[in-house]
Amino acid sequence: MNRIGLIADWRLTFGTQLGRSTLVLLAGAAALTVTISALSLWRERRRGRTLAILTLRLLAVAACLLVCVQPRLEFGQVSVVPNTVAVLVDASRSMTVAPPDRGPTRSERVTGLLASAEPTFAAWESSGHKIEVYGFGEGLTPASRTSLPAPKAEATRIGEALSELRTRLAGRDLGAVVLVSDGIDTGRIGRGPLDADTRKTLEALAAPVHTVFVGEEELRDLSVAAVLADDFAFVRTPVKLEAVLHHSGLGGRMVEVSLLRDGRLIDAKAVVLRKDAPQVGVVFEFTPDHPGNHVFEIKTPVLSGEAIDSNNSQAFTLKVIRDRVRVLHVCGRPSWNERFLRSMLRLDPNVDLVSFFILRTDTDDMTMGPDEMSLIPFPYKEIFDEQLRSFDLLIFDNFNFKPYWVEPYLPGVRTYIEGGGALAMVGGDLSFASGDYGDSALHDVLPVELGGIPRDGAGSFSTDTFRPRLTAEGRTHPVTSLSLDEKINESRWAALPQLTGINRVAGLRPGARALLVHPSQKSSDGKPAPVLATADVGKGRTLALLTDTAWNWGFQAAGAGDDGRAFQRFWEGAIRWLVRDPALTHLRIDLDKVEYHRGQVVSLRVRSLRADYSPAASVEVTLELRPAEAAETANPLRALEVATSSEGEAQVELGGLDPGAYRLVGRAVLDGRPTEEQTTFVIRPEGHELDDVVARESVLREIAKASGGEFHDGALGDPRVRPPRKVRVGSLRTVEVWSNPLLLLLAVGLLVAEWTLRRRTGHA
Amino acid sequence: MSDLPRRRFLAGLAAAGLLFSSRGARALGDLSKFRFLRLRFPDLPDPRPSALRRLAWELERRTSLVTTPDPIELPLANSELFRYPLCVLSGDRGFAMPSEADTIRLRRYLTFGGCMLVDSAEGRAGGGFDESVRKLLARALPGDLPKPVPDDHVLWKSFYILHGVPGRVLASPILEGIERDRRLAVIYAQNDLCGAMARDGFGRWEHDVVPGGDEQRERTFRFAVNAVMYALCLDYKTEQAHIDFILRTRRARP
Repeated sequence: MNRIGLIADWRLTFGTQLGRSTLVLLAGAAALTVTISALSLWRERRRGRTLAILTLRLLAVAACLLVCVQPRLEFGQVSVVPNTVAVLVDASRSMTVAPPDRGPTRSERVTGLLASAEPTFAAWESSGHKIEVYGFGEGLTPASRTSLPAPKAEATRIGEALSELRTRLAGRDLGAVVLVSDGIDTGRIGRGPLDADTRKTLEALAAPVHTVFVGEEELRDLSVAAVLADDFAFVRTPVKLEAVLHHSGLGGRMVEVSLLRDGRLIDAKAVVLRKDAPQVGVVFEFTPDHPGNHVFEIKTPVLSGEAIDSNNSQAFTLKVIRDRVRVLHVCGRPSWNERFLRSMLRLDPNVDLVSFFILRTDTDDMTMGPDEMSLIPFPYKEIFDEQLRSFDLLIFDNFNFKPYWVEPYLPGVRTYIEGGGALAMVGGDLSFASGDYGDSALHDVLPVELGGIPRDGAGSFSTDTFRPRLTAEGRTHPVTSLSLDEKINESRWAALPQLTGINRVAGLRPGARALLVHPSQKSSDGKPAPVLATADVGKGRTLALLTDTAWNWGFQAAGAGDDGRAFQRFWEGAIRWLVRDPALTHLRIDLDKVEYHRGQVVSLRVRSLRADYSPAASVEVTLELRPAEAAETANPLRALEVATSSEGEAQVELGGLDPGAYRLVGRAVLDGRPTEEQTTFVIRPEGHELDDVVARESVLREIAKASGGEFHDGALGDPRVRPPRKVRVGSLRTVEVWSNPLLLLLAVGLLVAEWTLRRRTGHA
Repeated sequence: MSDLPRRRFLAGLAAAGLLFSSRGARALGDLSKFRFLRLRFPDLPDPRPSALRRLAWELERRTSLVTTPDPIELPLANSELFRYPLCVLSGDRGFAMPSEADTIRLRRYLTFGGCMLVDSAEGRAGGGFDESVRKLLARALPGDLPKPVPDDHVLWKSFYILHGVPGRVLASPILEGIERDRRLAVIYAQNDLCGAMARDGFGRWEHDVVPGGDEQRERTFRFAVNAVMYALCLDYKTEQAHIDFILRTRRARP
């Protein structure tokens, strides 16, 4: 405890050993004595005499009481204990707000305010107060009047800061608290009223909290204060995203609010900012058309004179998942292959199936009227133009496009595949080269080359019976995994019924993989003729099944005593692979969360899996980080090389990232096969600090009122500070007043005088 | 869609097949073509040997199917049975029950995706053939009795829009069926479908169709086409796009 100077002092004390009840009895007896005396003088007409007798009686009784309570005077010294005046200065980001005329920011004005209050601080210090300065935001930070913390805090927690102050100054006297802020609280107080905890804190501080408001008379700002959205959504199920805009000083303006996904505009809405409604909601509704982790952003334009521009947009992530795989099955002619595929797909609860089969052609009998038939025109435009992107997978099942005016839409189909769609082409006499795909826009997205293959004749397809052979790749590929065990898988394929006929091809397209090949036939390139091949095309995938008798793997196999499920398992695996079912990914990147705040470290776990989904140890994984909207060819912001452990895992931390949306791409070679996986995340520039930057004096007024302090606007003023506490440090001399004989004589003399006067005036 | 005259509708349908220069009888082998299988029972001769060939010809003429004209006749025990997922059981008399092994084989056939079209040529309901068929079905698919196919079943609109089951005679107004995995695994008609479709080598119909004559014969062909299309496409015609279109075109007409 610091003390300044010693001051002479005295005080009156009482030395009686009598108990409290005894003293009360004595006081009662004294009062009774005086009362009886007064009653006995009731008939006395001479007021002067009455007054004299009563005065004498009172003095005598008082003298007796003094003797009983033993008063004494103590002369000594006291010490003045200096108390603390805590000055709390708001150091949050909202203090960077500047008025429309681009004058000083709030923080700069606070600096000036404290400088001009220097005389007041000096006076306080000379009066025995100690001044301590703190910056506050997310917490309390010691500072000085000449070195205030920069306004970088992502939150303003006034109530919590006062609680922390109380803890810090526990055991010390507090003369006052001076709170300098714009009143934008993002903690437990919010927009007020004060919560119970803050009220308790103010009471416990036992000192006035003087608040100094730093705001503006006029402020222009528009912010995307909040986005209300679920963490995930389903493909093809409408999603509502609601943005809450705050505006100030911009009433009457109309602005365009934009919704972007992965940097691309997907919707925009015009919003009128009404003067009487500082908060306005904007609802976007859209239907996600493909799954994945997407970065969305809702943004407004930055208008002239806005206080701050970093709050005009908010990015967030939305995980779009499939509830069901939407499959378009287009078939050029009813067939048993089509039938068993449809039979399987329509019973699969995970598949949403849309089919179009060509049941009749112009060479068939056309004499029936429309009332007699249930046929519909082939809706090529609706399918291949309007609805194409709503499908996860197209199956061209022995479908020849030329007669159906589909050709103009094939470039769109190609774009759809490259953009993440999937195509499975099933063989037959209307498919591949026989379906004129060799000259179509799809020719180089198919896994097989068709160049030089005739449309008709023996050169276009074979009709022999054969049992396809699994390739090395096919032994472990998810499409051909009838069993996770490689040997069992091979034996299962070897036991399946034979197929009949394949579409001939020139070979595999570069980068494509054959999973099943003909045991004896060769392609034009001299390699075994593919029966089943797959390819990655941009972000999409394609599959070529060059036969229309794969249904043998189910129905015929069942006739031979098999469980009859190979056809179904094959297609289930094919569909999952084609639509990139996350469960089939062999390289996985798991983030601890998808949204971070500035300064938080992004922690991620990389997992590598073998074909049978057992951990793949010591795999080199390349990680590249780019802004979410950047092209894949753009230079990465960071590139890392990590190796997975014996458990097939690697832990990676990314720190020091600026606010924004990021895409992390991982690449590895697993079992000789290049594998890629990517994910997105967002680093938020601020919490809710800049959601609404209009200063709020009401919170500060309430704090001042609740604590007995004063509210000041823009200046410190001269607020009241509790005086320092004085502490007696020793006793120099004690005078026992009651033990003086004169006091006793005085008491006796007064009694005698009162008695004498009473007798002489004829009173008892 | 506004009024859709017949010519325009046909032109619209041709959108599904204009420039169809060659459907051709091309296929990646015989297995890729549609072919009827008639089940052979020792004591059950085919009462209408020409009917299925005629139906195959009509399927080629009326639909986009590519068929093998001649049906194949196989006993249940034959290993080739599962190459033909649609089989026809036709007869005009009672027949002996197959062995237990063959019955199990028929059960697997129907359970794993096969479809059996049963056609009674007795000319009456409830005859000896009917009795044998019900006994066979009770053994092959125990617990699944044939039930009437409801009027709103997709079978009635799988190609043509139909009402009621025709045939050479109208012995029973009811078409019966047994469902497995939300599909009709058995379709049972007692009106002698094959009798109405049978045609001799000189191009003459083998049997008169009563009471409706040629119109009833045409309806029989349409029903048979629908049955084949149903076996191949299942409930394709119940998909919403088809329903929407048909409702739209019907509303557009007075």
